[in-house]
Amino acid sequence: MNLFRWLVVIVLSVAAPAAASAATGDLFAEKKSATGEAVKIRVWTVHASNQTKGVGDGLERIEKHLRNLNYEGFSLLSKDGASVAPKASKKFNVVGDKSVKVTVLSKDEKRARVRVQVTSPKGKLLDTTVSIRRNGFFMVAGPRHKKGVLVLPIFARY
Amino acid sequence: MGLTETEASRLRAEDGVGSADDEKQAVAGGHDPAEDRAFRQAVRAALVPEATPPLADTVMARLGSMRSDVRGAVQEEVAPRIADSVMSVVMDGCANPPRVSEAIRAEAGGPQSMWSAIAPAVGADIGQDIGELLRGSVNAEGNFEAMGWMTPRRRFAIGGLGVAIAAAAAVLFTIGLGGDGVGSAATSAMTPILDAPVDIEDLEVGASSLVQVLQFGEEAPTIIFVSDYAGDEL
Repeated sequence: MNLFRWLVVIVLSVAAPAAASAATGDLFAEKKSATGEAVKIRVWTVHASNQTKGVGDGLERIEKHLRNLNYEGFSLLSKDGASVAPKASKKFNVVGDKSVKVTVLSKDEKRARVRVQVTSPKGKLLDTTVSIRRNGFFMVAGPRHKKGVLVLPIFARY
Repeated sequence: MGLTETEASRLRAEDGVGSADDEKQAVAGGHDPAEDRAFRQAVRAALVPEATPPLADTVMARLGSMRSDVRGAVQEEVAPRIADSVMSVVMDGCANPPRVSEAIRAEAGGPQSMWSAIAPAVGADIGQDIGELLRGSVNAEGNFEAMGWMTPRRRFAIGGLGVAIAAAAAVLFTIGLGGDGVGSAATSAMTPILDAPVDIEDLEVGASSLVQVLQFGEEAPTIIFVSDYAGDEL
């Protein structure tokens, strides 16, 4: 009896995770099919100024790049992002009634062609088409904000 | 008909050339020299014509048109060529004229290189290529650092394979956790970032903006820096 009980326990302990993983695998597959062609675009909003010093939380990974800018303090204002399929666009609102519209033009195994349009209520600030290395990023910086400037790291991950 | 002494004195006084004795004698003769002079002036004024007749035209009409070629008179017919005269004397009797430049070179010999004298002054070796020296100096002076701008010719580091494997694992992990494709802070923390520059295919800015493309290293992200002249806040 005890042996049978142990066998049942062993079978369940092996079969249940397998079934769960199979179900999870299906979920992953479905998820992958839904977002497989999409590029995950992320737009951070960083405030750079000399009013404060140091790098705020959440910016540790890009700290060394932010340090290249001629500012002493960096604080993360917001993080936003979305999965954008090729030929599709996503508009991100940033501080100051400004917006960043990202259009994924195309992608391949190595790079993604992305059009980035930064606009303000007064009109266009920047309209650029860049080719970002897969899982790479670049930054748009310079617009003034509260005695400093805004830095917008834009990531493309797929 | 002759003039008396008194009349002569009166005329001289009237002409203004008389002496004091002439004046006295005219007065003694019962004449006033001042009145005589006034009378003469009145007669002269009455006789002077109102418009002076142009005499020049009349004279020139009588003389006719006449030109005097003074330059031609003093100039010789043929100007003497002094150089020809000198050369004729010098070349007299010479079948083959001497070539001065060749004679000077033959006398002085070939020019010697001045680089041996200049090189020590500019801190270079005699055998050193001056072009290479100048290029090196310019690079050193300008603190030139070779850096690719907007070019895709960059290679992954040796550790790229490891990063790629980690990236693949992180992607699978993110797919499992992500709901709407927008990663949370925790998910983002698990995602590696490949610091890679971008290729800028097109770049436009607003009319009141100035743009700079910054690249602080081979593997650093490209930074598009937009400056707004009007100071507008983004």
